[in-house]
Amino acid sequence: MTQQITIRVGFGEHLRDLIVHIPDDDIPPYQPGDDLRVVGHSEPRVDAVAKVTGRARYTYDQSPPGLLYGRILRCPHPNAEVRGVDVSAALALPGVKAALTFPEAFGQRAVRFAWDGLAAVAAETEQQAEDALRAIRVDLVPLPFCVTREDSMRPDAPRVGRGEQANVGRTYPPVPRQREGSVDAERAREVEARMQAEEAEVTRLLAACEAVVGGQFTTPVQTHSSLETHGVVCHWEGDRLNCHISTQGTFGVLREMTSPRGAVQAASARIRSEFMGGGFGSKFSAGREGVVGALLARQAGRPVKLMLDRREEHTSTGNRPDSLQQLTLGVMQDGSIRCLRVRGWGTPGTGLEGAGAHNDAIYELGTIDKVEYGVRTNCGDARAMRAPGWPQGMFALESVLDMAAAAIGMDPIEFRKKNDRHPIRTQAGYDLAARRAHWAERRNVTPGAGVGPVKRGLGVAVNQWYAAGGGGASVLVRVHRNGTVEVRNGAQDIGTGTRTILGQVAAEELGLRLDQVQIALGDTEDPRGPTSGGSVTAPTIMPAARLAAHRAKRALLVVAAERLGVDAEALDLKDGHVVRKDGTALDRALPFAEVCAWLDEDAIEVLADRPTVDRRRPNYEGYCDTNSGVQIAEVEVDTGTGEVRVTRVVAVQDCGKILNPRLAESQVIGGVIQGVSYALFERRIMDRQEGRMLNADLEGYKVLGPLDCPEIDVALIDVYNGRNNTGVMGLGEPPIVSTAAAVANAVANAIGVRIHDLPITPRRVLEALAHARASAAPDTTPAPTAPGEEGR
Amino acid sequence: MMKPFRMALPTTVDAAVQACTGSFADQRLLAGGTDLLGSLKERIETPAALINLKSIPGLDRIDTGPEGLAIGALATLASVAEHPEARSRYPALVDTIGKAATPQLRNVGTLGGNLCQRPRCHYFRDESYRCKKKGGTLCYAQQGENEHHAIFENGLCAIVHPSNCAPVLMAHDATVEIAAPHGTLVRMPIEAFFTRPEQGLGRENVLGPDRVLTRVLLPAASATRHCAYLEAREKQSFDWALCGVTVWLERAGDRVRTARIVLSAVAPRPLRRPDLEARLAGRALDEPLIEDVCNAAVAPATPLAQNAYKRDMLRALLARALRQAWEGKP
Repeated sequence: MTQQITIRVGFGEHLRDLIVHIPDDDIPPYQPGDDLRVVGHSEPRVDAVAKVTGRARYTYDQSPPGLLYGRILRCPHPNAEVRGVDVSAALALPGVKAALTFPEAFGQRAVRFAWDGLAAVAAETEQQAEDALRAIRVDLVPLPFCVTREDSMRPDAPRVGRGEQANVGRTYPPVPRQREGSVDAERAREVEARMQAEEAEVTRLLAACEAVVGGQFTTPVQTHSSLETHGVVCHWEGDRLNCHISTQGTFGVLREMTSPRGAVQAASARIRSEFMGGGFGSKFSAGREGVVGALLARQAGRPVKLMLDRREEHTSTGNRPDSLQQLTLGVMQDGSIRCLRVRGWGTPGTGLEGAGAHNDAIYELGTIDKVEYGVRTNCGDARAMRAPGWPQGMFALESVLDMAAAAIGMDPIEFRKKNDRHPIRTQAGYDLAARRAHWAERRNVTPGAGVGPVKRGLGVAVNQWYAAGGGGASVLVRVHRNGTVEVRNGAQDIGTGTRTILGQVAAEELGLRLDQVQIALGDTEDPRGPTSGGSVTAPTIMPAARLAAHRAKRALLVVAAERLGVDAEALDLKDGHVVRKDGTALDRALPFAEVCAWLDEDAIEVLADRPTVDRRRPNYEGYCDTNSGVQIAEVEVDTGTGEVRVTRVVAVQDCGKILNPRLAESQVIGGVIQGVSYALFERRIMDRQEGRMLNADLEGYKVLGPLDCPEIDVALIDVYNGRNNTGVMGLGEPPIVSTAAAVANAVANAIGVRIHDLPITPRRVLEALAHARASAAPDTTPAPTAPGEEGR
Repeated sequence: MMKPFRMALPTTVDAAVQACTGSFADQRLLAGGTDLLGSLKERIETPAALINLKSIPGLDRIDTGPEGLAIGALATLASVAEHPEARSRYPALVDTIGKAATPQLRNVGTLGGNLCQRPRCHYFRDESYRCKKKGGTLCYAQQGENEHHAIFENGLCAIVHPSNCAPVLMAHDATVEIAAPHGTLVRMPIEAFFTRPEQGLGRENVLGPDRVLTRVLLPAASATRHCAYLEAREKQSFDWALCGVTVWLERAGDRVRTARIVLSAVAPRPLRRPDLEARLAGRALDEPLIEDVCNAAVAPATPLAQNAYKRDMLRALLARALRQAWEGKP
């Protein structure tokens, strides 16, 4: 059953009343003017000291007695049939306690990318494990391969896939398929007809547009580069698996390890990830390495630690796929966008799916004619990475938007406002960002203007996200007779500060300080929680936490009310005491702990599910379905050496109700840093001769360091959206969506020449400047020529 | 994981030289270890023995005298950069050290190690590529990913020499002191210390298996001599130069008396360019002369498929370094 309530929604000056329906057993969201003592305050991260002093125990730190070390033998060939793998000589070596082969354990008889696995061992020491790998005999038939998009798209390219799998295939619009996988010819014809109609319509619109701009853009493969590599420490008790794992989905790993269709098939399992050193989307599953760790531990009858090394981390645990995007945008002189044409290609590894780019989103873009292809290569497979598809897509889209604004002589922010309907960006975001970045004063009105070789410029880009969370989480709150409080959930803190805000929400409800609440995360013995993906963790767990704490409070107040002989509904908890809601004083001060001592039982224990409307609609109708951001980057470009420095990034961001401004800011800073790193440095370098990654380490794979870090000015907008009882929305991903795009636009504004390829290295800048000097045509490119559409 | 090795702990330079030829043959010399340990773990090098020079007292000394500065091979980069004499008289050396690696590595890495470190070529640094430098038949960089490789002297092997101290020391006309068997000490100009690929692919300098670099001697500085070191790189934190230029000028009034120009990160060795120096000698530095020198500097370049941009970079850095050294800016 639902109750109808009236709430205030909006932000800042833009607040209004809204009638909403919420379940009877939920509580209304935080409201403007609420007297919040813990929520909304910049509480320091509760585990900060443990993390910086090394007291926090990561998977890597686990070392149960009798520990063995696991290692995986990997194949240097990017494409090969595996005829046989023989571990008998390895098993005979001193200290070696277990060994398995990938053909036997996984039925894997082919290697499709360099450094894919072949076999694994566990030994008493890492040295013995390493020696054992060198003793394994392997019978391989190396095959021809392709490791770049260009090579794979050549007509005579070696086949990456098996059987009839072509190297290039259309992924958008998707090819309609029958349930068993074959193409649904009839529906396929309908899709083809629609595509042709869209293509014709956009061609017609482009001819009528007052300005047409376009270009070809490429982005590199980015690896997640988590500082803690993937890995497990596994220990069996009978047929029960104990597994410490660096993961962003403890319950997903539990399902995987206990699935009757899985490779491990534990009768039961306990999965723990109390602390984890970064995932960014690459740690959703146990992974091959996690399964291997469990199998080796079972075979050896002893605990096994299997942590990947840096090369394995770069080559076999996923990546953000690359992209080649051709965009053509048609606009009118008044700034309205009429149409967009997109042709895109991306390489998600050996498959076709997962390399799409969101280059047709956020803005009002008119009619869209978009076709996208996946390109197979003999490279490690793509995995979700912090806003999958978004940074690459927005880099291309925001670039052509700036080109269009220049073509019609309109300010880039004014042009965006005209084609943007997001209430927060248009009513506040753009103006706030422009003011803080000194857009009017510091931007080059004439791109490339300025004295001396070092040019300065500003660029803008926006982001948007869709995470208000959903069902699938429960939180346990225990109020003990001795006055201590526990808040428990089995999901993990991927590093965003989940542990801290979980404690804040519970402490607020119970009228306590944050340090009076003990928070437990990352253990599947505790109540279920979400996988940390899609920025859903906070909006999924926090409403359950608030409801559980609220019910615990009501139960405690009933105990207090009985003793005091008053109505429990008249009481509340505040500042560690029982108080009257009407503000009048009780006969004497009544501390929280004293009421707890009156409990008949050991504890009040409340398990609350995350409230939802129904399965399909997890969230309430509220103010706005999405959260948003605007970023402005300022850069300095040395036109002599091509070096680019991002000196400042202004990041305006909202994420519903801000539970902890310091931690929210920290999320934005992290996204901007990773975005600048993507804009200027990061890229996987593949050697086409042998098919291997050449920079599978943190020296050659360049990640931004302290001297490369801009000043980051974060401006948070606190929004009351009413979508759940805390109003919080996800923030892990949106900030990275816009950063590289803003940097690229700033570089173009600084030097008057657009760089169409990420990362923007000194080489790229010097080559673009040289090309511009030769052609004297800044910020335009010839109409793109399609690099072949064989797979269409 | 490293291959097991034996380690000698000599307490004199002579004992170290002796160990090299005796029971510790197939050895590598260990100084700070910041490069060597990585190579051992990656199995780029698998020597049977290490000779640890850190057990030799005094090899890290820095001495000053009227003839200049004598820096022990085991002096850490940080100790050189902090040395008052270096700071006041050889600011370009301090400057280049400040750009090397990270503070942590500079606290451990030594000047001798900086000069003798192996190249960073990603083919050389990958055990799975048996390139020419490791006894194979191919220089993979020629047809491969060569954006960071050499644009000069790159026909046989396209590594760039990684040291950024070497070009500055070379521009100062430094001398290296090398211990040889039977207690002999050999001195040579640092320019003669570094070798071309044609002189042996397996090495980057003249040190034989029984030689130990002991000291670097810097000649006296003077108020009329100025040195500028400039480099460009992708990252500012912990990265390697894409191109480096060192210009050393001695002025006589409004003329250049003597010039030394060394290019780095563009060739398999720090590349002294006497041809450019000759263009400067006796001339006043003006923009046409700078243009002339920059043109001449890149003229002999033979870039590979991905590194022609280094020519533009080199021109820009050289022009700036010339102006800086001429104006006497540090």
